[in-house]
Formats: sequence, structure tokens, C-alpha cells
Amino acid sequence: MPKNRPHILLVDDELSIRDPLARYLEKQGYRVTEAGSATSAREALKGYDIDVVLLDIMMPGEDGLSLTRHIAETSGPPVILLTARSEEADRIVGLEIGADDYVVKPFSPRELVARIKVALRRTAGAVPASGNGCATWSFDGWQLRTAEQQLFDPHGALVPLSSGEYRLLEALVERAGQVLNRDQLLDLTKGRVAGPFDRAIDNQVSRLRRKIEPDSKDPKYIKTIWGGGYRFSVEVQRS
Amino acid sequence: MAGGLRILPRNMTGRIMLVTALGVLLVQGINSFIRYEAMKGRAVVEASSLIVAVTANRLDFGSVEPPRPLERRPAVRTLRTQKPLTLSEFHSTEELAQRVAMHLESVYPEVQAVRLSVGPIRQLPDDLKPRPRHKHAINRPDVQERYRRGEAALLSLKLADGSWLHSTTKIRTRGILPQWPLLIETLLIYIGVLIPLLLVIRQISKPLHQLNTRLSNAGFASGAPPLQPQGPDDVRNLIENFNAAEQRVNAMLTEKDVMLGAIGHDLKTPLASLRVRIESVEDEDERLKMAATVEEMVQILDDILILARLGKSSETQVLTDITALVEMVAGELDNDDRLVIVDQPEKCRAHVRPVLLRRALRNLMGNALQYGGKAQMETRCDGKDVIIVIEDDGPGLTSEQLTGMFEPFARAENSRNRALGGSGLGLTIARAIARAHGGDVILENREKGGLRATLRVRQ
Repeated sequence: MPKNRPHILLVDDELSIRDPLARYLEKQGYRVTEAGSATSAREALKGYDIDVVLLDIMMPGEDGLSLTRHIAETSGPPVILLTARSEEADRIVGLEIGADDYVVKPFSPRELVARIKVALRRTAGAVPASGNGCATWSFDGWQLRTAEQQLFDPHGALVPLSSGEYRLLEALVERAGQVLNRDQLLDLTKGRVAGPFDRAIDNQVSRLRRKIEPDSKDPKYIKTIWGGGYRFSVEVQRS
Repeated sequence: MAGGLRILPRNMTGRIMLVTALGVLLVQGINSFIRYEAMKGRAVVEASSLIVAVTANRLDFGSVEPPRPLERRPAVRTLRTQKPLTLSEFHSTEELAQRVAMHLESVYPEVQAVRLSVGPIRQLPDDLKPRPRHKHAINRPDVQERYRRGEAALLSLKLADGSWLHSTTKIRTRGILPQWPLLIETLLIYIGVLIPLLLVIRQISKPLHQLNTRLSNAGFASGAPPLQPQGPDDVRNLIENFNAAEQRVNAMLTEKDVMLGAIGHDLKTPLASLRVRIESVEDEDERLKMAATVEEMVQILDDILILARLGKSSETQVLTDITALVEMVAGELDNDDRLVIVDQPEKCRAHVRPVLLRRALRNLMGNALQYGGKAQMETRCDGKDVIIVIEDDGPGLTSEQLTGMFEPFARAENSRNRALGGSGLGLTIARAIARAHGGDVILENREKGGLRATLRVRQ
């Protein structure tokens, strides 16, 4: 019998958050198991077939990051981090060590549910989670590091990209030499949040060109293919 | 007065050295003058004895005129007149005159009266003016001229027949105060006074200088070890007191950061709890309003925390393409081309903390959109700084508002109207971030109306 009620493990030492959140999620149709510490969370992971873990980073005793690493190493269920820290560095660390996603406290429960759905879809459709293969793509002196989701120019300078621009570039670079039409790009870049409209791809391509092309009027890397779409036209190396 | 002060050296060492050097020079000048006067007194005595000797000689011969012209011109000239000479600038040398008078009157009974006085040569009648010794020099006006400067001693005797016998000689003052020994002496005083003084001042000024440098960084909690107390006791005490004060300030700053961090964390947990519970409110309108209120509280809290922890940001500096960063922030804030980026051929890179700088840019661009509706931006660099100029088309600010805008919780609209959102910390944060990057944020009104915000960071 297929499981129609996904099982969520909610790990947070704060009862004042855990309790109402569990009730909310149950109301949304999930089965929720609560844990007040990393230790009891490990017990629950052993005892139940958990689909998604919601995990607070700052907990007394073993913290959330350490538990995330454990779950990732044992190919456990996807992890969504609940973090109170606003420093971006901590979130990146969390994603690097194997978390699927994060929300910053205080979060909107509706948004959390949306992210849970994305995480569930990903495991159900066997879509590899982001951060599976941490690779560095190099082209013409540029480096695209997928672990940190960062682009560095030939001077070694960080080139800040919006998440949409990053995903677009990653999609193009991974399929260098192939012509990708707008629909394909839309599919490939559709992230956690619903994707943009058709024209938005063109906008993002032109923004990306401004940032990476030596002359955005006469693009060298991202070429427009008439009637087709776009193609990444320089040699790319993976390391 | 101010003009006179400007030529004084501005630092302590320079001033003390200059004043001391001038003081030594003045004392040495007075000293030389006193010595010169004493030497001149002796020269007068010498000159007087010469005249007396020559005059006595004349009286011995019974004639006041030499029996035959001398081979060499006499250093003493004599003249006979029927009346006494009246020379206004000649003054009698009282004590010396008495002694000479006693001597002459006792030896020569024909001497009725004796006057001895000193005065400028130019007042003497020509026949009495001293002449160069060598005959050939007499026709050279320059030599003669030189000879007639200075002072002469004049001895006037009233003889028995009522006539006066005058004799004069130049008082030799040339070379009575040798210059070389005086110069060496002055030099020695300078060496003896100024060098030890310089050493003492350096002992004071070096620690003072260190203290000053340190003080200009006070409050940034650099983590540098306390200053080593050195120099004389006064300065040593100053440094010790500074160290203690710095420690207190650092402790307070740390305490503030810890406290704000704790407040931030402790407030976020109940806020998170509240945010979850809000979902159980049935009335959707009410629920959305409550969620917005919580969101606003979180925003303010984040702003306060950023400001409080700015000095201790864990983010490392990364070489970053600032032009791309500006474009990214603009793209995040605006989807319908209200933020126009003026293209620059050159890309600007700088070592910055990208997350913090993004925050500063967000705040400035957000303001421009909020108050100006539209804005244009330009990123420039000159090898030293990266400059990002954001110009909006809004109403601008009054000069009073311009100066007050960087104060925490200041707002362009005077009433603390929350309708426009934000914590009122946006500009304060932007400026603090720019300053942490060795730059600044400047606000000014544009000539065409609207506000220009300039953010500068070191490259």
C-alpha cells in the first residue's frame, strides 16, 4: 500500500516552536514525529521510515549540522534546516554538508510546506538532490564552483550571480556545445520556487552576458542560435 | 598673530627645539654684548694712555708742535686752539679723566685744566681726525673713510697762556672680541643643550605618538595587545591609564555584542513560535496582517544585529566583481527597469565582504526606489576606490535632513511613519558597512533635483 501520509521528523529543542509546528503540519496531512534533541532524532531515524527531516541547527548537545552530516553519509532522507542565524556563511555550510534546503526562523509555515513538497517530489521522482556532484567547471579562465554556487572570473574575483542566473549558467555549462531551447532551459533552471516566464530566460541571458561576456553585443560564450535557443560555445573542463 | 604662529613647527619636538635654540642664541648675544663693552673699556684706557704719553712728550719738549715731521704719520694727532672745543656727542670718561688730570697737573704745572672724553670721530675737526699710518693710503678715500668711522679719545689741556692743546687717537675696537672662539663656544653650547634635550623629547614623543595612533583606532576592538608603558613617569602613567580605559571600552563593546546577540536569538525563537501559531487564525485578512507584523519585527531585529556585529563579521574578504554585484542587487529589487544601470566599459573589482556590501547596496537602492521611484546607477573605479553613485528622481532632502539622515532610526519623513517600512537603520548600516571597507556613504542633493547617494569602498 502506497504511503499517502508522508512522515516528517521534526527536530527542535524549542517546545514553543515544535509543538505548534507539529500540529500545523499534521493539519496539512503529514504524519509528524517530534524529537527534542539529536540523540532522540537518531533513535527516530532508526525506528521509522522517515521521508523528510526538519532540523534546527542550534541545539544543545549535538548540533543540527553534525546530525545533517550523519544523515547525508548514511543516505538518509532529505534534510531541511531550520536556522536562526542570519549569517549567510552558516547556510552555505549547511548546504555543503548535505542539507537539501533551509528556512530562516521565523519562517512562514506555508513556505515550509512548499519546500517539504519540493523535497518529497525530488526523492519520489529520483531527481538527484542539489549538491550531488560537487564539481568545478572551467572555461577560458573562468571557474564555476557548484559546491558554493559561485562564479569566479579569470582575475580570481567572485562574480555575484542571482540564483536564476547561476542555474542558467550551470545548465548551459553542463551541456556545453548543445543547443538548448527556451523550454529546455526553463525546465533545467526551475528551482525550488516556481520558474519564471518564457521571456525571463532572455532577460536572464542578457544579464548573464553583461556579467561574463567581454563584449555583450558580440557574445563569445553564450551564443544565440536563430530559431533554436542558446548554446555555450567555448570548451568547458570539469574537475 | 595667526600668521606668525604658522611658521612655528607644529609638532612638539620641533617647537621645543626651536624655542630653546632661539633662547640660547639670545643669551649668547647678550653675553657677547657685555663682553664687548668690557673690552671696549679697556681699549679706551689703552687709547688714553697713548694720548697721555704723546702729550707728555710734547710738553717735555716745551713745544706742542713736533720739532720735525715724523717719518710715519702719528697715531696721535694734536692741535692747538685758542678756545676749548665743544663737541656735543663727546662724553667725559669721569674716573679715567680724573686720574689723567691728577697725573698731568702734578707733573706739568703749566696745565690748567684737563678734559678727557670719548666720542664719534666724525665730530672732530679735520685736523684732529685720525689718519692712516701709511702715506700712500691717504689718497685712497675708501681707506680714509674706514679710518674715520668709530670713536676716538680726545684729551684737551688748558695751558698757562690760555690756549688749548688737543690730542686724539682712534679707539681700536677691531678684533677686540675674536669671532672664532665665540662661534665655537656657541656651537658647544648648542651641542651640550640641544642633543640631550632632543633625546629627552624623543623619549616623550615616541610613546605619545604610539598612543595617538592607538587612540585614533579606539573602539574598533582591534585585539592588539596593550601598549607597553615607556618614557618618563608622566607619559608612563598616561599610557597605563589609556590601557585601562581601552580595556573598559573593549569590555563594554564585547558585552554589547553579546547582549544584542542574545536578545536577537532569544527574540527570534518566540517570534518563530508566534509565526507558526498565526496560521491557526481563521480570518485570512487578520492572519496576513499578523504575519506582516512579525516579518517587520524580524527585519528590524536583523538590522540591529547587523549593525551591532559589524565589527565582528565572520565573513571573509573576497575579491569581488563590484559591477556584477550592483547589477545583481538591482535585479533583486526591481523587475521593471526602474533602476537603470549606466554602462561602464571597465569592470571594477575590490576585496570586500560581498554579503555585507550587498546589504549596503540594497539599502541605498531600496531608499532610492522608495523615495525617488526611479534611479540610475553608475559604478566607477580609479585604482584606489570603487565608487557607486545612485541618483534618484525624488524630492531630495533639506540640508537639515541631510546631516541627520545617518543617525540611527532617522527617517526622511519626520513623523515616525511606519507606512513606508524599514527600521530606520538602513543608511546607518550602509555607512557603517562602507566605513568597514575603508570608504564612506555620502548623500547630497542633485542640481536637477533628487538625491545622490555615493558609496565608496577601498579597492
